[in-house]
Amino acid sequence: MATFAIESNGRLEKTVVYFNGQQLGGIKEVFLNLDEDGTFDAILQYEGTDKQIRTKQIFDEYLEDVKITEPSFTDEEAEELHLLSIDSDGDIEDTIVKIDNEELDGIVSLFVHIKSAENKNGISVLFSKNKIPEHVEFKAEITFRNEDDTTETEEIF
Amino acid sequence: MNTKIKLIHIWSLLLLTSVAILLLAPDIAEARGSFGGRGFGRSFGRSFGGRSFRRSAPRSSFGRQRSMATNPARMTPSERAASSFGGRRLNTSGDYTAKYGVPRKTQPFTGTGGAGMRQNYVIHNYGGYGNGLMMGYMMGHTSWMWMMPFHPAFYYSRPYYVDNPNGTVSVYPPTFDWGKLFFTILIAGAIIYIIYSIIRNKRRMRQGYSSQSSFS
Repeated sequence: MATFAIESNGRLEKTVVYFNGQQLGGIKEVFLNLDEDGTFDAILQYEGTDKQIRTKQIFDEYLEDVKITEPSFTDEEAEELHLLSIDSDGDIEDTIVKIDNEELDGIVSLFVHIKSAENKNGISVLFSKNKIPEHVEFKAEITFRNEDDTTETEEIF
Repeated sequence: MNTKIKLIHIWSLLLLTSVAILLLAPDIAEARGSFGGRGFGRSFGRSFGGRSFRRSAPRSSFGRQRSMATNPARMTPSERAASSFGGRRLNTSGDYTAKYGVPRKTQPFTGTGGAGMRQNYVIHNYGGYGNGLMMGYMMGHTSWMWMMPFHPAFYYSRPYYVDNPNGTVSVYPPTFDWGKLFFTILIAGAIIYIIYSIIRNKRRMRQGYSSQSSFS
């Protein structure tokens, strides 16, 4: 069973990703789509230590050449952030979701999509016809089933 | 956002280059004039001198009164000298000697003025670097490098001219121009700062959003 976690305040500038307790770097995109019907998509796109862009299933594949970085936040800084962690072996039946180390239940679905804008370097960017920059995607929400069978969607960060 | 910053940097560079050209243009124009050449330098020098305005009005040489300003023979000796060598005109020699003292040596020199007329000069030697520059201007032995900020001559003024009552022109050596040094340092500093900030921004972009994010 692996642990994948995201610590953030809802802004990309302050969002770190952990895998089995180690902070990762060079992340391009995180996509998590889990629901009670068995949907289990957990995809990570990152730039490896060899500068290659890789797309992996977080809980099923080995994250080869992934960049490991030093922890960014102190304990004090972390207090202002929320920590979403998922312990799973790739099966929805064997998945535990925690927020700020508090185990959750009654989850209908979990959706996280965090994507950084593509950085274009060099002088070519000045002559680019595309004047609208690629926007940053940051969506993270959980849908719960209440006791009266109604559903409620909450933002995670 | 980054594109906007880059565009601002490019505009700043263009603006600084324009300012630098504007600062240097009169000197370049004068310098070209000192060679007695045609074209760019000379026409610029005249435009700045204001004489071209008086000349440009009559399209024909006929049917109008003769313009005194365009007649080289009616110009004062130093006006002729100025069109040939550039430099500044002083009212009296005292304006220069009061500041820089008595010259070490004074020697006559016969040169050719801007209109091709022979002109007698009295050259006042004070020694030092300015003296060498003055002789260079007088002999017409100038270099394009003198207009470049990395050459010491760039930071010196042009020679000073004084009309003498006997028709000769006294020539005094160029002096160090602190204003030019100040503006050059200012412009060079601004260019270095812009280049530094471009490099710094590029480095930040390469590092990602910040050091507190896994995303890049």
